[in-house]
Amino acid sequence: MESLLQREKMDQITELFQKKVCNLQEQVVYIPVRHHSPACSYHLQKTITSYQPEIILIEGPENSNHIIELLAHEETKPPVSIYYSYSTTEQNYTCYYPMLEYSPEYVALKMARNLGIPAQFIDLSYGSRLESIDEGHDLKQENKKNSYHNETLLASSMFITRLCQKMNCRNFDELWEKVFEIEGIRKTTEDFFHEVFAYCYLSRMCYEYDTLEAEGNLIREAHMKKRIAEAREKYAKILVVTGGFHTYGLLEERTSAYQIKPVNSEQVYPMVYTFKEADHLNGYASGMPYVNYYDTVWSAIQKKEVSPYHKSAASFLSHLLKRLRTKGESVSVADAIEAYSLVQGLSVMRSKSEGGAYELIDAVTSAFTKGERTIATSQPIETLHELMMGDRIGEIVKNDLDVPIVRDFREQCKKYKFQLKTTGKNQKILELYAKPMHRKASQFLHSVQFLGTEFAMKIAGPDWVMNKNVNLIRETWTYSYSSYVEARLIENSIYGGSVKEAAISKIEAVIKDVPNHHSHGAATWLLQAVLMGLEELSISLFNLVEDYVKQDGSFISLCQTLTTLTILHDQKRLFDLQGPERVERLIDETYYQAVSKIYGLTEPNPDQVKGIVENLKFLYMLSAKRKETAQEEIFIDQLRELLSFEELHPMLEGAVTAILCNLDVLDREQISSKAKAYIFGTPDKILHTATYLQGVFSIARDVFLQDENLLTAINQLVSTLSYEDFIQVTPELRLAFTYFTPLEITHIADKVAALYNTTREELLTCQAIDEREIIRAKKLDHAIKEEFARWNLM
Amino acid sequence: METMKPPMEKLYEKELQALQANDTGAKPPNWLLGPKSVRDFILGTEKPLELHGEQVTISKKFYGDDVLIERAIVALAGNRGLMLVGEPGTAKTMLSELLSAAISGTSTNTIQGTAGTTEDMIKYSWNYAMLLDKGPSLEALVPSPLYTGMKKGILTRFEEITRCPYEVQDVLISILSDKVMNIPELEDGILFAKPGFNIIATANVRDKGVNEMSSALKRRFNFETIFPINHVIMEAQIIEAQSKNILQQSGIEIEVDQNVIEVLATTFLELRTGETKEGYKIDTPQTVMSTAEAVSVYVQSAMSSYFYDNKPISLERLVQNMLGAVAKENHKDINVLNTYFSKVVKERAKEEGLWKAYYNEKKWIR
Repeated sequence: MESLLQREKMDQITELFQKKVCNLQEQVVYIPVRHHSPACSYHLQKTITSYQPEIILIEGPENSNHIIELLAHEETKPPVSIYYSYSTTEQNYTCYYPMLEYSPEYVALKMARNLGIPAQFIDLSYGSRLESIDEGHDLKQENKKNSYHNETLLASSMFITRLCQKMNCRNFDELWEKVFEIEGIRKTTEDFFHEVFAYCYLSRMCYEYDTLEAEGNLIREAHMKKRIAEAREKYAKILVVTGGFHTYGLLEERTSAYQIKPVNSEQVYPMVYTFKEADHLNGYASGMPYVNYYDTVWSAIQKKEVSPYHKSAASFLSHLLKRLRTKGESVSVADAIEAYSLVQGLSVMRSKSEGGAYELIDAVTSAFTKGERTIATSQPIETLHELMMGDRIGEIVKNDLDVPIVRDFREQCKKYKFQLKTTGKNQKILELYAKPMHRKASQFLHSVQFLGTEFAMKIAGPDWVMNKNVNLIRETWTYSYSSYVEARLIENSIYGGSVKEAAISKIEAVIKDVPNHHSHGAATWLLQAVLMGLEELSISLFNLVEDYVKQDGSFISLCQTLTTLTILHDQKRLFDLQGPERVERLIDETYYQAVSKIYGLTEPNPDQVKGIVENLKFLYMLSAKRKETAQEEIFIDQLRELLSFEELHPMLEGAVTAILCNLDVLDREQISSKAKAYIFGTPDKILHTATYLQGVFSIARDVFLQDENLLTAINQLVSTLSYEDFIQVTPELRLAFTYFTPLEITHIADKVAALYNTTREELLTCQAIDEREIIRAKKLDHAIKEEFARWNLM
Repeated sequence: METMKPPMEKLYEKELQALQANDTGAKPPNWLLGPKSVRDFILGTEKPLELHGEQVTISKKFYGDDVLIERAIVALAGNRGLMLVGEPGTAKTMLSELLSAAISGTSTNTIQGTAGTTEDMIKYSWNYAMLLDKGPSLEALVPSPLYTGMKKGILTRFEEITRCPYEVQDVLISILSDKVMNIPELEDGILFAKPGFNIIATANVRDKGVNEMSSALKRRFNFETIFPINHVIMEAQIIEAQSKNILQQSGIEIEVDQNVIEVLATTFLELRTGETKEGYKIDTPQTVMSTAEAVSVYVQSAMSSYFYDNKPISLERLVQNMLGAVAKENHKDINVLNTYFSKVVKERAKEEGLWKAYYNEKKWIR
């Protein structure tokens, strides 16, 4: 890596490093680390052993010093995290400080405990850090899972992008693994930290002081410097473990006058954590991906294996075989052997001493894929990713500190006046439209219900999700509190420190499982989130629904999505929806997507035809609202295309014709001429007349009231049908006429009566003839016929 | 001799020599270049290499996933064959030619798979005059490319393997795992493969199911899927370079129109991926909208404009020819193109000049 740098600059860095950073003769030794890096931990262990410090100072909020004891306890098993939360009048802020078995910070805490020396966090508390910088509140969004170790600056500088290209690495993580992890454990401790320092120094130089200041780095470094200076008074040998990005900041001689604002309301708790959350691929910009993989590597390093990475690769390949077999894939040991040799081959080609995570992934991609890369063949690679991420959950030794989510739950219950002191069922009626407080309470109860706590149940009220009883204006809930509820809450604490936060993370997790072409599923969750009042999520959910809508190929699902979105839009005041334009835009997009699927409806499943007609009607109604857009043109084009299909289902044909007539694209007479085509068609076609009429009447029943032609044609149909055919058609025909209101039926009856020169009353009230009378008349008829025949009269 | 399409080892002779002269790394047995140099040959190098005092630039020949190339090279040094699969027109054959030219110095040791390929064509056949004259002997044996590959320790390319009948494909199974071919007609008739031998097969995913490979055969290959290029500028560059080449060869001296190419590349890319550059999802036709197809649309349009209208390429011709390319498999595809014009092109026609003219040619889509 030296060759890439200007020689002079490198000499400068080397001098600084040797004199001030990792000089074991000094009173203070600075160790630059990357969070969650096994190689850093490995060399940190070595440094602590050789330096034998009297105190270890660690980059971490100083208001969490009281839980160091708990974290380093032998009954505490990583992954664990420290949870911070503080509230201002407007917002709640939360943040996590995750620790893994191989995190340098955790290693430092453990070793300090073993050596019997103090360990101490020296950074600003999370709250003061946010309060002390001008734009602090913009940096952290409310209720988002923020990580204390944000590495965005470290990993995204221009310098890194160039370096990745130059070294044939696909991203920063591969670059880091190649240079610092795999090669790092083969270097001397001094060389290793020298390179980490040089690298961090150079990435820091890519940023202006203003950026560093705005992100709050300078004020934190000033504070840490102050704490180090205090320690200098008391201890002779001090070891300082901080992110490499800050090491130079601690050495730099800058006098600064920063105003640190204390925060009183900040809370700190130790919490269990999971590998899944710690994996930065899940969206937290901190530390390395593939947590379980590096955990395995770390164990191998601790066991002093010669090639820990290859050892881990072999172990992962055998686990992969086992896991794939339980999933029913046919894989053989030969695949694993091939993959293992690929790991080695690739590592040679890429000039790495051992093949790391990326070689393992490439090897499995190449050796385990049987056929074209599609969803059908992606199982091995997905399973490998799962294994490399891992599913471990940490443990915290028993302690007296409160679980944040339970506390939050109690506070909220108090705020909304829910009775927690007694067991037994209570009832609460919420007036959604009248009282804003009740709306909030409803959101809270929806969240608690969603978290599966079995605290509350809605027994009456509007059901927006199923689109039922939406005319109701009150919600009735029953609730009861028990230890069971608390246990469920503690289980949910893994999702977050407050009910709202947990609901957000949990809904994010659930949505991940919705197949990405199932837009209605996503839209339903959006509605759920709105019901729970999780407006922080709404932007990302809107984007998600939009994504899903774009991938949804099903006409019916898209129309359902459209219905859900329309509900959201119509009820925007009740739901307190911010930015209704977003919904409108989404409705536009969904409308376009749904409309553009119409021409594919040529051969629908017979069970779905009714649904399709209803949806077409819905789209037609919406199109009335959005005249003069390009989308109407597509709607018409698509309907025309559909109609030109020769064997279109009669009901669809009726509906489409009616819509096109209403849109003035087709002439009104088309409806009756098409009906006549059925009526005067072959016997098979005649039977479809009723189905066609159902389609027409569902959209435009007024045609029948105005168009005499159609009435005459149907009259003719009924009178010419044979007895069997009549029996067959009648139910469908009756169904077709159910679309009319009683008043309209009367009107039609008048017209029919006019055809037979009689009145409606007579037609409807004329007495039925007795069966015996008919039989006698028939007999008489028959006898007369015989008599005529005898006389040769016919 | 003038050839229509010189093999890769001829076309890039100088580059290969330069790489060989500068290659210091370890090589698998019988390889001309080490794995790193093979990668450089295909993906190009930043700095030119020196050969007899001359600077030779190693050009980038394959656009797409660089990591895939590394995996492919390492796979070839291993125990299994390499299977390149993908949509038609994604440069699978070109990649396999480049790999064999770099590794074995020849890209012509090739079995061209067809529905009529027989076992003889894969293993060996006989010169019957010699056979009658001398009986079964090595002189009477006519080696196949696979035979040659095993004998010389070089790569054998197998084109369109899934077009060959199922039974014929199966010949490869034991040869690939045992690296030995039995010739029972000859005394001591066993051919052991020399190190350096391997197979690069290509298969078209559109042919899937015609002659689906057996899982036994699949197990003996490492699969690499080549996806179409997803980058308008890159695709436009390829269309431009290839069209220029073909037009020159046909003796048509006209400049290629970069703006038209960009419109064409955008249309093809968006119809292929089903997403517009504005982020809208659109329907995709069943036909393969490959880069190769785009090149042929461009060349045809340029030719018809040149010969019939006596002017450089017009958008009118472009849309007419595009119609033929899109509506190959299914008539419904026309509808997809139609919707694309009324949704995407119409929107762009509001601002950008060329797109407006393009939209005016919608009339040809019917």
